Amino acid sequence: MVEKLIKKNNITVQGTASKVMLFVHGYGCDQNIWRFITPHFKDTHKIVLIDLVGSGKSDESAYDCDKYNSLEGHADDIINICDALNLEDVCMVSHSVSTMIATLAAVKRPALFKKLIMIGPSPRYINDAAYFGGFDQKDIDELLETVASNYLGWSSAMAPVIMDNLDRPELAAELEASFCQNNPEIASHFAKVTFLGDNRKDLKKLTTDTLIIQSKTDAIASLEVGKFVNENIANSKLVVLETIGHCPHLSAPNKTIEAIKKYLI
Amino acid sequence: MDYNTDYKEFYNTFPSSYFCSLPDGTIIDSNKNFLELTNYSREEVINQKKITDFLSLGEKIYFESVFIPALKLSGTIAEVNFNFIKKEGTKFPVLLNSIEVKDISGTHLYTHSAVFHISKRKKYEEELLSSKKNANELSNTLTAVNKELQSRVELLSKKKLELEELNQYLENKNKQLSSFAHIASHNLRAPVNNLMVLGDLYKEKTGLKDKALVFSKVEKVIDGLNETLNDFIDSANI
Repeated sequence: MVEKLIKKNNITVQGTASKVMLFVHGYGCDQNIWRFITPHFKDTHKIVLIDLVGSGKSDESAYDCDKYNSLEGHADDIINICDALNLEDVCMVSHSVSTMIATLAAVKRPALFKKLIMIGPSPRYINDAAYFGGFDQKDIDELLETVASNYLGWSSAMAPVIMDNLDRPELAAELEASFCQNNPEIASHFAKVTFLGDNRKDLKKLTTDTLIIQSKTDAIASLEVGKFVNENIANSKLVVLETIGHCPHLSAPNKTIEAIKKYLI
Repeated sequence: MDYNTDYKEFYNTFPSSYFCSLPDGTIIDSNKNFLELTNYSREEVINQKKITDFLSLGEKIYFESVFIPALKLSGTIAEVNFNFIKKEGTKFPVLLNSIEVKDISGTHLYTHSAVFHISKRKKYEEELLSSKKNANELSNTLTAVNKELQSRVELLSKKKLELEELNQYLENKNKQLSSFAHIASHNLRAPVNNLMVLGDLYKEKTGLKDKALVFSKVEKVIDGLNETLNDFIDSANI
């Protein structure tokens, strides 16, 4: 049963400490996105990395369009993984759409998760009457067209993931850039579910201690959205990094690590 | 070849677009081809625009969530399709290649990017995709029609088999009826012949005793005939 899950979600476990940190990637990538962050927590935490079904090296045949028509499908997978690996008091680190997956999982099983760390969260991307998500329907339509037009591009061989400046030759072999070599239909389906979703009402149900890491300039999940998330999650703290872009854990890993470490003390 | 002056000439006459940007996306240099492609002057672009300024909002999402992570993790990326926006607002399809340049300690210094204008290629791609879509639809229709035909053929085969069985049955029945008719005519002929002879005999005889004797023989023949008829009715079941 565990073997099946490991294959299904390409689960990687590093370290043997008792405290658990579970990393869940967002749209457009896979667990490799955490590679500049995890080495700094490996000594104090058991690191669990997964690929959401349909992304990275997950089991593509397990992608059921009905199940994953909402983020609940992925949230259930996370709960199953935690149960199968006997994880307790999990600190879940999430990014972009997986922050909402984390929300749904923690609302369903609050006792399982001790803390949530959300990087660049957004409960809804499309503007509403009184809500600024950042985008109109036509913007999301354009995005979906770009997703569809790029599967040909991604079928060309990608360069292998580079080593960081920490000397880790053993990582170079396993870290093959695998993301976006997905089935194009799955990529389009996941994009629709992510960018057409609305999880605003789920924020209020979340009681878990939450850290929100917000990039000061983020075109996808703006500061305004970050503040909205902070206001709607009862036990949440908002930290704004002096960074640009939607992936500070990639573009400014040191600042991100610092913010996480400060929160986990 | 004087590489100093010729290199600059080469850079600005090269038939493909190039630009250089900082880690935050700000464009710090570009060749002439890129400026001509986007219809901007050098002053309007250099240190003024970022890569994302050439993209629509929807494509910015793709750039930030897919392009940048891939570039950051691999150090290089190629053949990503975007629609760049010219100064006047019109869009044109491109393929974007980028590579990060870092110093010895791994700090990202700047990014080189090449832009390939693919309007004609895109039209060809769209035609191919449209043909593919039509072919798929036609294939689906043909598959459905084929399935329908298959099931009709199966039905016809079944019907044919049923007809053959019915035919066989009717032939058997026909044989039975012929045989019955043959036997019936023989089995009826004999007693009727006897009755005719006895009838003549009855007419010939004049004495009452003789007549009664003949009549009792007639009764026997009639009994026999009656039995035969009952047997026929029972077994024939016509």
